[in-house]
Amino acid sequence: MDAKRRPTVVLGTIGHDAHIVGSSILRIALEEAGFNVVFLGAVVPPEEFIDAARESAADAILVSSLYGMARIDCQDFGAKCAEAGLSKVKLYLGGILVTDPEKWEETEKLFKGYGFHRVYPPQTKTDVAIADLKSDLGVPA
Amino acid sequence: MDPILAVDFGSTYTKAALIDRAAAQVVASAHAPSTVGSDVTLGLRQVLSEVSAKVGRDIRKVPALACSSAAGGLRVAIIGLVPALSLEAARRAALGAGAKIIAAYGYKLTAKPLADLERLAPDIVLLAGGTDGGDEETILHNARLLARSPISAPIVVAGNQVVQQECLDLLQAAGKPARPADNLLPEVGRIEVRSVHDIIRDLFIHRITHAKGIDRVRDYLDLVADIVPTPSAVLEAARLVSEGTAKSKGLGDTVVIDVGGATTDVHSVASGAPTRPGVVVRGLPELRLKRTVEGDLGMRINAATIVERYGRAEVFALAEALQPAVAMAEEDVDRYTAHVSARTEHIPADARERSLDCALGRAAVRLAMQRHAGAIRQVYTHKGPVPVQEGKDLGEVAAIIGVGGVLAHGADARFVLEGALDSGTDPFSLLPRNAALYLDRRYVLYGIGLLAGISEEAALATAHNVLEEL
Repeated sequence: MDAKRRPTVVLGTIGHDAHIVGSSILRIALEEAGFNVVFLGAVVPPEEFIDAARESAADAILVSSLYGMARIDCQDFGAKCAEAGLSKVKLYLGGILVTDPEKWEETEKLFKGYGFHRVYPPQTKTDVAIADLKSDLGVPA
Repeated sequence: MDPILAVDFGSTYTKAALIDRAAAQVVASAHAPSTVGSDVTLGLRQVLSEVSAKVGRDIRKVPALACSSAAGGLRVAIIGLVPALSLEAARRAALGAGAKIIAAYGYKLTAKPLADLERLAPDIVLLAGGTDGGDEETILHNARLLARSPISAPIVVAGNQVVQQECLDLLQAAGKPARPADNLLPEVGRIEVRSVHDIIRDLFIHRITHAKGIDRVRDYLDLVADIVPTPSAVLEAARLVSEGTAKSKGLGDTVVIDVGGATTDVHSVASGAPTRPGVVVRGLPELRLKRTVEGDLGMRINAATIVERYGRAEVFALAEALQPAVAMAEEDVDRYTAHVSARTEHIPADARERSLDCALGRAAVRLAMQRHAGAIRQVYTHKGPVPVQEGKDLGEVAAIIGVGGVLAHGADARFVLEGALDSGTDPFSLLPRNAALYLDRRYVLYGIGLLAGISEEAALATAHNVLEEL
């Protein structure tokens, strides 16, 4: 990553999900932590995350999903990114991902299979995700 | 009398209108076939002598204003990165500057599109790509390819500012006339067109009118302002009529629809913000002054595609609704479109042709407005359905102004222009619900836009006198 450039992340709530509060809180925390945030809001189709990441040369995409349908919206997200030339972009997912919570390990495994580098369970604090992001992108803490 | 002459060098006609600024009236007007192909001044001299004869005085010494869409208009090729983002920003900027978009390329250019671009010989290349601090690779790649190509048109560089200088250096080192502009898409979700507009306008005034031989009209006209692209004069008229002046109130949110022989152009002056509660807006933010050009909807050259897009039975139903007493068959729709697409000067000869012409006009108006306005789709969330809007909501537009032969020649202008209104059948329509309809019968909006550049009050007063409420 270019040392002079602020790390850039694309953030939004995916699919037919109108919850905007979670990603808004994360947006504030990320900006306070020095990130350049391309904020897409809610009800964002997967393709819009990819378009925004290409145009802004994002280092990471942060996907929020709070309505239990992530399984549908996030299927093959990593493959779509790779197809668009974004295989170096780190992918993060968090929220209420499934409606009938199985074992967390199962859920995590499912979404990692869709290409996400990190998957967060409900109630994760923003500083946990930000610390991971900094470490993954090589940003000084 | 305080006369000023407005002249439009159009693609098919050269038009002139003599406006009395004191009375805010069009005193006389004339048009003659365009002669840009041979000598632009021939058609000009013809309209000048016609207007002189009508008013009984030599008008060649009258201060003049002019605009042009002749010699192919302002032909711009746009290059961006993501089609829905920087390329779309470039499209809107170019259209808003009065351009005709002859080619559009996203991502990295390859040999084939570059060869196409060379062959098309654009007047201007608009090079966008990358938000500020965003992608650098694509615009640099594209600048490098343009530098190596034989393309000699001015290149406006309006992408990621971090590599702006590098792009300019690459192009200028190869002898290309490259001009820096602000990024059209400084960040995802923000579009800035002013700087690109200013540069395109400047290039048009100082290079393109000369290259196309249009500036020779200076020998016959006492021009008191620069020659600008016709579409930007029309857009300026729309803005003035909508916003009004310091002294006079405007009409409010306004739409101008120009139904031409080859294209249907729509101009809107409106924020386009949702007019219903609970609507989520997505997509690139809309420009308050927006122009779209529908290259497949035209009353003559593209009559057949209007039928294709709108449906033959539907066009026929419109014609029947207008003239229920005239005997017609659905096949007449095809017969008529085949007839007129080869004869661009055709004027309807009888009641049957008039109703078919108006039906085509209304269909073109409706399709062009639907595309200009955008759409709402219902998204079913866990909290119930949420309407998601892309594009402009024109529901509360106050005024619609129609321009074009199908409106001016016929007695059914209202029927044609009503195609722009919400029909009440679609609860999520973004079309105007209660707009007043106006007709620019003598085609003088361009003159009003030109006059606005030197006297807004006179221009607005003239608009009030010239526009007929339907």
